Amino acid sequence: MQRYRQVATGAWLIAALAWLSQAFVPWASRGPLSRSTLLDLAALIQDRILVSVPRWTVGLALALPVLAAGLAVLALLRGRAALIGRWSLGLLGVGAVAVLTGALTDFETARFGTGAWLGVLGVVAVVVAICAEWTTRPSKSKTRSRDEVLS
Amino acid sequence: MKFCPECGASLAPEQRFCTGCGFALAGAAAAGAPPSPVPGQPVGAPQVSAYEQLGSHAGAPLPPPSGRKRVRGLVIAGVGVAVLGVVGVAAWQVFGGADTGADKPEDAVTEILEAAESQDPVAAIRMLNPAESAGIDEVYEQLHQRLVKAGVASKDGVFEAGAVTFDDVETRVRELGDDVAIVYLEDGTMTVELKAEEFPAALSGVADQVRAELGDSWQERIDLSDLADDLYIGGEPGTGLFVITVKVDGKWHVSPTATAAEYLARDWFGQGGDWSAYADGGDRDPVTADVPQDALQVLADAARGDDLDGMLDALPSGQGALLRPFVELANRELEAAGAGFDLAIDEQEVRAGDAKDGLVRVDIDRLTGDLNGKESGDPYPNRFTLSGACAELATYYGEVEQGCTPQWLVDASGISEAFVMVRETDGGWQVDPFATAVAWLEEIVGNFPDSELDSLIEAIDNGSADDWIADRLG
Repeated sequence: MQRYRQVATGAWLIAALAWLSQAFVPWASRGPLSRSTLLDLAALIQDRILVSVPRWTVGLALALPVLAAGLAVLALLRGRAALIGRWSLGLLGVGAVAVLTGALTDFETARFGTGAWLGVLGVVAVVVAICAEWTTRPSKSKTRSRDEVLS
Repeated sequence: MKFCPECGASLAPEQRFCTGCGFALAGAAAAGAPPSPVPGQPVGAPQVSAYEQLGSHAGAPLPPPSGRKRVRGLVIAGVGVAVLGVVGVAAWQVFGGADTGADKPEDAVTEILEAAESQDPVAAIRMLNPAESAGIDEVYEQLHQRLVKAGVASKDGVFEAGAVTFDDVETRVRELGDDVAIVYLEDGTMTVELKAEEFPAALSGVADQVRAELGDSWQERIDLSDLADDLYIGGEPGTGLFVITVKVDGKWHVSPTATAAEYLARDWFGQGGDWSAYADGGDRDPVTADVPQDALQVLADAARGDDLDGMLDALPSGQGALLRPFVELANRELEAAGAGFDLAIDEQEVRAGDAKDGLVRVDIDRLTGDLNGKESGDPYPNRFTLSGACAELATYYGEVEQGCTPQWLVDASGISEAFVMVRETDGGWQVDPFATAVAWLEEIVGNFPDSELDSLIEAIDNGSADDWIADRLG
């Protein structure tokens, strides 16, 4: 049980770290965003140097790092609210990664750069974390035998 | 119902140990409740919590729960501060002004070369002077979408059939003035590659031609030092291969306009511009119009009587500055030839559109004015009229020249009359030549009919592009 909880915490932290760092590295292996980062793109949009990209892209580019920040803190907290919070942020993050990966690489793995792979790593970590937490979810029996407690 | 503070498991109110993780519920002790007997522990024996029992089973004493909690609190706080710091850096990078340009002039140039290698337009735009690059992506994006639709470009924007790589590039930097530097590309190689089999289907004819002349895969390595030695503009010594970089907001950016102007100056005048004048614009008062409709008139007034410096004052800051180093050269040449010019707009009928991102499109319905030249002291008055897509010029030699933009070009470009983009700046309005060029390109790229684009691509593919253009333009 304890080990599953440790695995879950580790996986949440890995997801948070991956989604934090993806914003600072190139997303594609070639073509647009292969030498520039999502934050470069967002800054150029914000400064109106790039006008062909919708302004909401700025929000999307910052969404993952912000989600990751929340996830990193919630990963270390206990309790039902923290659990619900990290599951929600994790699933939102998975959605954001899907949107970004589709928009920037068209889901072609050959085009995946470091950022895209970090996004995927975060998704895998979220799946692992959720599975581990599901395994350690509170059992319906409210009492445990002495042997169970001591073992 | 209560919850375990350790693992979040739901517990019955009377439970003293968590059924999920065995955690001794500290709340009871903290609240001064009597020590909890562990199930199975004899009454009266020293009270040992289940937690301590678990620790002794593991063979090592565990720190008390309160200590662990403190450690966890510190860890959570540390992680929170760290991630908030990282997010803060990200937000600052986005909202604290675009982090464009490079720390050194040569880095801006090499970054552009690497962006070309990677075919990453975003990375390239980051290194371009913002005053020259704003909005250029709109043209790129529209053109890319049109070419994807026509089957010529790939969706990811990568041209697989061709590649360029730069190796061992060596640069030499010379400061030209305040915030301007010239970067010479002195050594290194540029390798150009073509792969016939990677050409898109719509260009199969071109691919066949490449295959026949160059083989399936062709590669040429060009020595940059040889290229620099061969580049003679305006006579000896060779100008070399160079790029002009300018410092904007503390970072170095490549300026295509300044680079082109410097090459042209060396070609026309046999010498480059006086770059010490680059920063002079900052000390001069900008010339602006009160309303967008008057910006063209104000620009013409500012240029009256050969006043090139005045004309540059009427352009947005950062744009006029790029041409100011050449004013003295141009004035000297004009003086030597006893030449000059005078531009005056007498009448104008213009319409201003809505402002968007500080820019207003001003359509010119009709414009009448004088463009008077002077050579060897003799005046050469010309009178011009611009009306829609047609122009008339009453020349100094007494003839009237008339012409209209070919109807096909009007239809294909969607531009039926001239327009300029006017920028809000320094509390007024100024004609923005760069935004105007971008807007014209945008119109042409956006309006060019699909059928004509397909027809042009077909003509390029079968090698008859010249005939196609001649046929359209007459």
